Amino acid sequence: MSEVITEKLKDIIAEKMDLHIQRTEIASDISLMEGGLGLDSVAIMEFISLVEAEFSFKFNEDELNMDGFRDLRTVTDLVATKIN
Amino acid sequence: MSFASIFAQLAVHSDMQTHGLSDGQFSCRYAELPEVFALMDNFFEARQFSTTDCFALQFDNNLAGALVLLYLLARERHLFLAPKPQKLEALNLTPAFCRYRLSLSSEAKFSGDFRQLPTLLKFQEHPKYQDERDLSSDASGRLYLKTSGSMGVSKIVEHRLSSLLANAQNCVPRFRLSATDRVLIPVPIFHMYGLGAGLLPSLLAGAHLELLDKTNILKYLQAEKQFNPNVAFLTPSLCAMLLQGKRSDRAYSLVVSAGDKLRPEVFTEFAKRFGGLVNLYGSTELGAVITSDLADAAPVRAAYAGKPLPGVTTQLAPLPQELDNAAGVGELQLGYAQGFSQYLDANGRTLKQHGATDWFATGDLARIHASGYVEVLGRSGLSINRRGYLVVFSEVEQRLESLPGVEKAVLVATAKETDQGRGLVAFCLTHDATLQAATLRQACFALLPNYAIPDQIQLLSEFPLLPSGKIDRQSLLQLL
Repeated sequence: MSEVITEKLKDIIAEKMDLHIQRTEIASDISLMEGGLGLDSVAIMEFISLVEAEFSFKFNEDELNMDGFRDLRTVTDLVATKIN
Repeated sequence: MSFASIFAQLAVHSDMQTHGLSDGQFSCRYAELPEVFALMDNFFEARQFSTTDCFALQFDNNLAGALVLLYLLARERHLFLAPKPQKLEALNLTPAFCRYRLSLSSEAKFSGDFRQLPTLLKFQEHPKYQDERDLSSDASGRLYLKTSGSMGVSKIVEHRLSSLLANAQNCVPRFRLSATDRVLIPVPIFHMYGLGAGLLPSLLAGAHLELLDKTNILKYLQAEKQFNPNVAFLTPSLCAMLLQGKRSDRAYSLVVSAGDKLRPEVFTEFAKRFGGLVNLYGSTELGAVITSDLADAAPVRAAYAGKPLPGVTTQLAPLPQELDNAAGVGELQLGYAQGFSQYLDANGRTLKQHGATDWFATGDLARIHASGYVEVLGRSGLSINRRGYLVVFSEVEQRLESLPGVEKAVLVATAKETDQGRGLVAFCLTHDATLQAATLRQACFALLPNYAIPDQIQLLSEFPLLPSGKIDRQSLLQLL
């Protein structure tokens, strides 16, 4: 299950966001911020909206924190708990 | 009053025993400051620095950085702060009059135990150290900051620490800061705004303080939840970030926004959702000089920079030519005895003195209303005369930014003459692939008077930037 989620997240990052990053460059535990994708606030919000649209749910404000959005793996875990 | 006496009071004030400074990870109570300073004294005295040695600080926006900064202020040292610390990494960007670059050693990790802090500091002597500053006038400490240099050239601004303190004291009553406040500072404290308007006034009031480093929306929301601030010092882009990224409304007693003026519609929406927003107008040279009072109605706070702080006088220098639509507009000049003392070059040679009674030309166009409110229109260098009308670039940029898909707009004047006067090209930042320049220009006809409509619109997905992080208008011109 979590692999499917990770793959969908990679699709979002590589195809729907304007980050100039190849899908193959995205490790399953890549950091979203420094030392990884380097998303800024605008890109973070875009990513959150795209994830919500893809999986048809809304994050609570409490879930929008650095622990949940540290890297692709933590987002995968967060999404998994949301859709279960 | 000096920083030393103020920090000492902060440490013993019984109401503030539990108050302190944190960065979300580590914290230090104000009562512990004397111990931190005594440990730093041991360390500094052992190294026998001269009292006039200038230290270039390179720290993140966190507790360790703040403690070193406060210590140097308390001991009336000479310190240089750069807007972006990482820019100092190449030592040649540090002015040569700074004898040492001071940072945390990269191997050591600050564990939150401030007793270790002195041992984690790293001093690097400037390889081309050359100090030609004239320090004969008095023995007070000095603060040096680089001007942002949006027009290409940057200079170094010198402040007496006594003036920095007086300016900070001036802010406390206008912001109505008190010991019960919880102040979140997600902007750099190594910059005039974060330091002079945010950190120091909050400390003077004895408020709880939290710093945020490398702020993004997630870090902000987390800090907001954990620290529960009622005051925040933001920028227009942070305000926009919160408007977009924060899902629930929340009441702040005070949010200060400094930098470019917030668009009135953004201001109004923000104030409606999050409470007491005020614009702050200031500069590296003068610190905080104009801001609203929270007692002013929101539309007044949205429309104006505010009223001058006590001791700040204003006047308008007439514009070079008569302009039909520019009634009452002039270049804003400010008088402030607590402003900077001089401009220096990198070797510390005086470029220009600034006396306590001198007027400071802000380079901004403004109106001063009978009520005393100052309305800032935009940079005077960033305005031109077209068909006898004044076109203020920032006003055109704000209208363009109100169009869907336009994230940011920058207007530049070309050398080419058109029927209207000099040519105007608008560069619009967008990530919307469906957006077309022609459609945008068409939309301008409903938003702008004809003389202010750009002759050309170009879409970009990123702007060329100067080292200061500001948009490089010269490079934009070369794209044409």
